[in-house]
Amino acid sequence: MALSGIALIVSIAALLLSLLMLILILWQDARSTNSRTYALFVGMVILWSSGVLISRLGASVGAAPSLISLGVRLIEIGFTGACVVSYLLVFVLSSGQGERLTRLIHITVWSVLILQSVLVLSTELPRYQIRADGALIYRLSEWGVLTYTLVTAAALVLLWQRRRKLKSRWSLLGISLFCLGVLIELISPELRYRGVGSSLSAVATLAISYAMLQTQIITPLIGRAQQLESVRAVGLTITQSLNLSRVLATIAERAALILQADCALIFLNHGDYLQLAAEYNLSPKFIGTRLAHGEGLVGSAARTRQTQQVENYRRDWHGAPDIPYAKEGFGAAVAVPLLLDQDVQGVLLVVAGVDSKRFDRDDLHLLGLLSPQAAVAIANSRNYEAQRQLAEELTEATNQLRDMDKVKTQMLQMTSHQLKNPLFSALSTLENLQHEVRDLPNSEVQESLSVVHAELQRMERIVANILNLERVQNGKLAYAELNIEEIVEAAVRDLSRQAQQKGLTLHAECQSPLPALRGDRHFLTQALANLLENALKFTPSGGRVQVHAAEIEDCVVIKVSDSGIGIPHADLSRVFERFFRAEQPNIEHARGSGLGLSLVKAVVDAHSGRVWLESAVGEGTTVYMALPIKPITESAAEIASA
Amino acid sequence: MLWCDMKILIVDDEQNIREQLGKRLRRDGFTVFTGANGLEGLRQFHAERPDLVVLDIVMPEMDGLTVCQRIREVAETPIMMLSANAVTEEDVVRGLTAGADEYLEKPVGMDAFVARVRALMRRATMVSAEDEKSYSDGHLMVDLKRRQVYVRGVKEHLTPTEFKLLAVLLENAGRVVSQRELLEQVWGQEYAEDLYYPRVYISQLRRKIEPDAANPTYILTEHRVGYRFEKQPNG
Repeated sequence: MALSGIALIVSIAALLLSLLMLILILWQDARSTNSRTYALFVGMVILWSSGVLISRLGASVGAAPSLISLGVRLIEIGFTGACVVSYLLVFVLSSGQGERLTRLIHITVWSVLILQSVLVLSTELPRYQIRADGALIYRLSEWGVLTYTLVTAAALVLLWQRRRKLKSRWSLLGISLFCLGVLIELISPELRYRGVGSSLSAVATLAISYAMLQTQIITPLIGRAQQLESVRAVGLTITQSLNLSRVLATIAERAALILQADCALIFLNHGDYLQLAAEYNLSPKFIGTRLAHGEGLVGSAARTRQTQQVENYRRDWHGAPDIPYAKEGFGAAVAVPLLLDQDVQGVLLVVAGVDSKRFDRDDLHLLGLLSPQAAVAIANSRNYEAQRQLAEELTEATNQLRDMDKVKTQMLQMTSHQLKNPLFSALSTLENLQHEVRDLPNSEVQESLSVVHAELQRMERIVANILNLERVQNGKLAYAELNIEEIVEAAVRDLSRQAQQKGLTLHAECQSPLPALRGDRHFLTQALANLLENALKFTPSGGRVQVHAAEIEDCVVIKVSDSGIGIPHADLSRVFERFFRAEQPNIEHARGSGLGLSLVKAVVDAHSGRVWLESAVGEGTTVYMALPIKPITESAAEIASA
Repeated sequence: MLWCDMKILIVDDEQNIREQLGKRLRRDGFTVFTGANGLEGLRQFHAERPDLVVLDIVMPEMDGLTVCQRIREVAETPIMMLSANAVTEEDVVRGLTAGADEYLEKPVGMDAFVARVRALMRRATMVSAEDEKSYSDGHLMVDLKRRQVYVRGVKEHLTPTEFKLLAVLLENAGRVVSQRELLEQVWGQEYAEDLYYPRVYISQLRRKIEPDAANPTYILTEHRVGYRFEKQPNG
């Protein structure tokens, strides 16, 4: 009696708790099939237990037989319902799929339930006895026992088959316990009389309720927290690191941990193929494995830009394996394309081992949250990596160019030096020879010797110009305080004879006083001389060449203008280039090295100044050299020489 | 001036250059000896005791700068460097520091070369023709006749050019001598445009005679004009 009393209290408490959980679950989501089936199940168990309570309390207090009969009827209906709905519950909790199948099972279950209820209600009042010890004794119909046994056995078989699909172990335990309670109810009348079966079922219902609470409320809440955590982690990865391999490793690890998968792989898209770039919990020896688009689950995800999922890789995947031995080692697998603006950055493959977990909708949802961030992270890192590589290549190329330039300069200097000795040798020989033949009557020999001499001198000038240019560009200047008037005077004096011979007017005018500036006297004089020589060379007889120096703003501007043939507009931008010589079809004698203006520009640059020119064909050319008055500091001189 | 008794030593590793320079100088009346490398040049110098030496810089056995230094250890013979090396001020200073009086860059026209040789000769010989003038204070003593300079009582070796420069400045003591004047008087008409010569030699000279070359008291720079020798109170 004490046992049945305890069992009764336990079952009432369990049912009250279950009812509470049911309310919570229905409040959270009353529309899902799981919730509704579960609610139906709890309702049936409550009906059954209420029947037990009413009939047994009625029997113990000697209540009217009609009340006890009502209790027994409730027992029969509730028991029938609970048995049948338990099968349905196993089906829906184990993620039973297929609309038709679910409908069929519903129809079957409801048919059995209604039929049984009708049968129970339409028969005469149930037979029962009250024993001397107060125990209520009632019998179940034979065919009813058969039906319940079959349904319970079917539920147990289904439970065993689909045990891996149950999200909570508590549901496996609860449903097993429930079936045990039902079997006790069917097999042992003694225990039935004592209410053990119904109490066990009530406890089982509590376990099932807890499982429902876990799967419907607790797990999703934790899942959401994990989602937030995973999103945060990926976000951190994106902002904290631009190292591609580190980013990939973190994404693979996170994906595997969040989905409780056994391993995760990331394939990067390289245009024509996908290549395994990171792995978590797989052998690193597979890194570098290539897949064509469309090849393997990964290639298929990349081609379709859709998530590809298989429950059992060996059974369900009929294409090429994603990595060697995949068919032997992979169980469930999901391949998610990592898309950024519809561009496939790569594919994330999450794998569970054979006989391990399967991925459900929630897992896919998590992957859906993770993948866009992973795609952004990968794209950023790849861009950064590409830029870094580009910068490295650029630096290397610059260094190579600089080295080559240095080698070129050295070679040029060496060659020029090497040329000087033979030049000097030839010139001195020639000059002696000219002296020796000066009295010969044949002037042709002397003329030829003069031509050779002039050519050798031209060669000498070219060599000297090359060396001067290199010297200026390498910053080998001697800075001192200069008087520009002196420089202008010296240059004009040097060339006045040449101007006179050609019938040109050479005139200089300097603003007085001109401020002194720091510079290299030799090279500035040389630069001005080059400008004047050019002006004289390209100005026809009778023309004029003018030099004008004045202080303008913070500079001394030296202007050399001529009334010469001018420079074609197309050549203006190139005249300061080394070895550039503008086309001058009418000036046959104007042979230069193409280095004169380059030297001018190099000298002006070394003085942190500016040189430019204005020209009109047939009217003349004006070249401006602007030299800053501000003293050149050592560092500026160094920069100029760099 | 008669040059026939003047001996010139040409040291250059290029045979044709030696021959052609020699030919030209002989034509102008000089007696010429040659050396094909530094060591041979030094041997010839000791054997012939020339009045002027023309030295190439880059040579086998011993380079021109070393030869110049070796000669300076024993004689004040005028030395002309004749080099194909790029002539930057650094190169010139290096040559002058080694004791050269002149630095010419190859290639140079024969006439210009001979003119420079003559100018250098003139510089060297003119000094000895100076009057018996001398200068002396507690620190510096210049004996123009004997071509000797003493700094704090110790004899200081001056090259002929340095000595000539000092003599011209001393002659014009208290008066500013322009760079062009200096060039003409010390180096000769041929050098009128080589404005950096006085600058380089003045700094050389200051190093030798000034108590503090960075703050000169004898040879003062007159900004943008020239130089002035300032006699010091006898101390």
